Amino acid sequence: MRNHFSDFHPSCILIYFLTLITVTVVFDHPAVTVTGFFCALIFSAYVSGVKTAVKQFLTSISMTAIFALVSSLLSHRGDTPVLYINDRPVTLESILYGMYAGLLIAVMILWFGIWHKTLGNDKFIFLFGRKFPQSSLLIRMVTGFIPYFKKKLSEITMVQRTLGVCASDGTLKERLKNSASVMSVLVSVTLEDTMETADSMTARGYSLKNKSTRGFYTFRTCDFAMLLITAAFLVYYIVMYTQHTADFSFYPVIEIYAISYRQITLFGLSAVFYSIPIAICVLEDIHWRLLQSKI
Amino acid sequence: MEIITVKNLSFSYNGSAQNVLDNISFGIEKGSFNLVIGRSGCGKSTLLKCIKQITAPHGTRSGYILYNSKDVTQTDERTLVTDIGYVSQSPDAQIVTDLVSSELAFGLENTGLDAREIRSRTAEISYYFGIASWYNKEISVLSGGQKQLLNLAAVIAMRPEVLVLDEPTAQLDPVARENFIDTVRKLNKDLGMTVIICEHNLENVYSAADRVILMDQGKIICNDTPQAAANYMLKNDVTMKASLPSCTQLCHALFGDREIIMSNALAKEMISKLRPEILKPRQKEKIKAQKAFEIKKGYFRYLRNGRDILKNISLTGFRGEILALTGANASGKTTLLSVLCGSLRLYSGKVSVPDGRVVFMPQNPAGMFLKSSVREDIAYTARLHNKSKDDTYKLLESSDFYKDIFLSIDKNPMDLSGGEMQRLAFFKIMLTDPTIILMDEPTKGLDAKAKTALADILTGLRKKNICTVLVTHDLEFAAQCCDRCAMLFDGQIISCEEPSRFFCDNYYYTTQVNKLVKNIMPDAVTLREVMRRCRKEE
Repeated sequence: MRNHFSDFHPSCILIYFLTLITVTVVFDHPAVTVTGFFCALIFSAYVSGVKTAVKQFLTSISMTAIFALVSSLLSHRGDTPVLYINDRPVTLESILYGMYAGLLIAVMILWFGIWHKTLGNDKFIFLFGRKFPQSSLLIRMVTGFIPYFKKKLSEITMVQRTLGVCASDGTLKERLKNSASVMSVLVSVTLEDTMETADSMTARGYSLKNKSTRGFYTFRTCDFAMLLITAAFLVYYIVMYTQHTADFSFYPVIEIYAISYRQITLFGLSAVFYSIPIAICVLEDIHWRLLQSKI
Repeated sequence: MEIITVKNLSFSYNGSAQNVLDNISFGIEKGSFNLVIGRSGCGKSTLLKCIKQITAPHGTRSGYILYNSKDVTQTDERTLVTDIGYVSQSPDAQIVTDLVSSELAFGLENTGLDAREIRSRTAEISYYFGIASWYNKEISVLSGGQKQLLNLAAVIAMRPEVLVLDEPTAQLDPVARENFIDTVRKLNKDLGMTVIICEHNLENVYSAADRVILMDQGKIICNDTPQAAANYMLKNDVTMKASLPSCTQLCHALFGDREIIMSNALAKEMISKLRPEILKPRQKEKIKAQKAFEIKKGYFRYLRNGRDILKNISLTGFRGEILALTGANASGKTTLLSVLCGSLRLYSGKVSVPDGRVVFMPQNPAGMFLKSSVREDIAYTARLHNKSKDDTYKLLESSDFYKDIFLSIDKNPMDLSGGEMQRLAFFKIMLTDPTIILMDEPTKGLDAKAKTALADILTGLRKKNICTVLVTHDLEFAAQCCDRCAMLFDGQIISCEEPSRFFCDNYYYTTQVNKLVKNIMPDAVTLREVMRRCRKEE
């Protein structure tokens, strides 16, 4: 499905994701993290397909497991021993803490991935191009260069192989030597072409002062609404944070301070906040179906 | 009014005593279409770069170039950037960014236009150039022709007064080439843009020019209308005459010096009055040679769920023959070469190469060289293939084609000109004793003389019992030197026959000469063949 969330103004997307990442890190509460994890997976499944989401789920789970293992072996804090290894306790708390840390990192990776997909190069440059024209051009050039480089590499490998310089046959020494030769040819051929690129850049005024950037995104009412909603959530989160609504600690024993209505509201609203992108995609798709039915 | 005036311009590169440009003077009228022609290395490119000034090469120069009666070296950079647009030959190397939209905006952003203006200009330009449908695409998915059109559009977006084009179509296929030239003509006619273009292939562009500037060894030897310039070339037997449009050459060869014919329609009418003695086409002896390779019912695709690039391909190549593969872009030609090379594997079907010494020569041979001097490079390849010094030397002396290699034996292979590179590449290929040579667009960017030299070499390969497979868009070249032509369409081989039969059945997809003489001798495809039929053998 299409990622309708990326249709918002780049600044909205940027602010939304910045808030989301900050909230996840600052609240540091398993319930918030787990909510974030499932929302990220659902969004992935909706936009990139169930297959990708399953893959991401499995990677995240294995990451959690690895962290749990490492944490339980290295840290012996916590009051509830599960078993002893070499007279050292392996505690329930350190296992759970490890799982939590692993999950937090997995969630971060998932959300950063979604962020990158939603706020592509183009929008990123739109946001920062005016401030940093040189570095945004660099991003553009590098992304444009990769396919060119791949194509050249496969061509040169093929040509050199037919001439007897083969990077996949022979002894290890030969292979290394031949790969090095192929790489050096690739570099010199590329450099030749880069000279022409440089000429083309100067010819089109790259060395002129006072550059500008093209803008493609206009700020609409829905962008404004989105910004307001994000701001409202941000204020709410700040208030909740200052009042220590969601304090949580693993050591020495897992303590859940009396579950209050406030906490439940916080988790509920977090779920709402995390699922804004999914909601927007679903709503847009329903909207589109409705419009389509009128055609 | 003269928009550009060149006066007594001389130029030599640093570290070289020879003048690349030698006391050149000429003027360019505003709104005119100027064609600069000459053999490779005659100084055309240097001249054009000097006119753009910003990209002028380093070296010693005397004399001056005026733009709007002001010396270009004194004109401010902003004016030169916007007023003089420059497009060179390589579609890939000129591209700076990754998206079509950002590439179009690149120049405009540099000149500091505001966002609204940039948006409206890029929109306008994409509409004018018909690139609106791929406006949001990544550049890496475009074809060479589309990329070159994009390069032109990106320059035109800055609204230049003068358009300087340095062999812009050298790396395009005929269809893309025609499209590009038509766009340039339209810019000239519609908007009155002054055009200075240098080209090797004059087929479509020659008659469009207002002035033809013929250069040789850094001097202008003729600067006149196309008609007069053609007359000059034919009378004085300049080597460049071999690049003139087919109709002009053919009519000159058939009817002599009476007048210079520049239009296909007129040429066709004149030719239709001819009554050639009906000579049977020369019988070629049937090739009963050994098989060099055979593909049986081959299927190939890049991705498991992708589409078939090759479908049910069956093709046999024989030793001692030259086989041309023609067809539109993305019809699977290059993929077929990669399969023959062994780089790609068919998912169904068989490839057999009985004596498998296959060599591949890409469009740009630069990737074939490994060492920093020609001498070392040759020695390295010779060693890899167990060739003694004497053998190498003998081979080097065996043909005139290789002679020039001696002249640049201590140069870096990357510094050689296109033609020299090709010679060296060929020599390296011959050192490996191949049985099959695969070539991708070997005539791209070659002038008429270099093409003849290449044709001679290929003909020589026949005697050495080598099978040569050319992927080419150059139908003239294919007709001239191939034994069989095959046409690929949508991953399938549609027909595979000897050139006269192959082109005889085609109406559009055939050589220019064949189009002209179609109604009197439908199976004559080359100039030489027509002359033989008319008993005017050269």
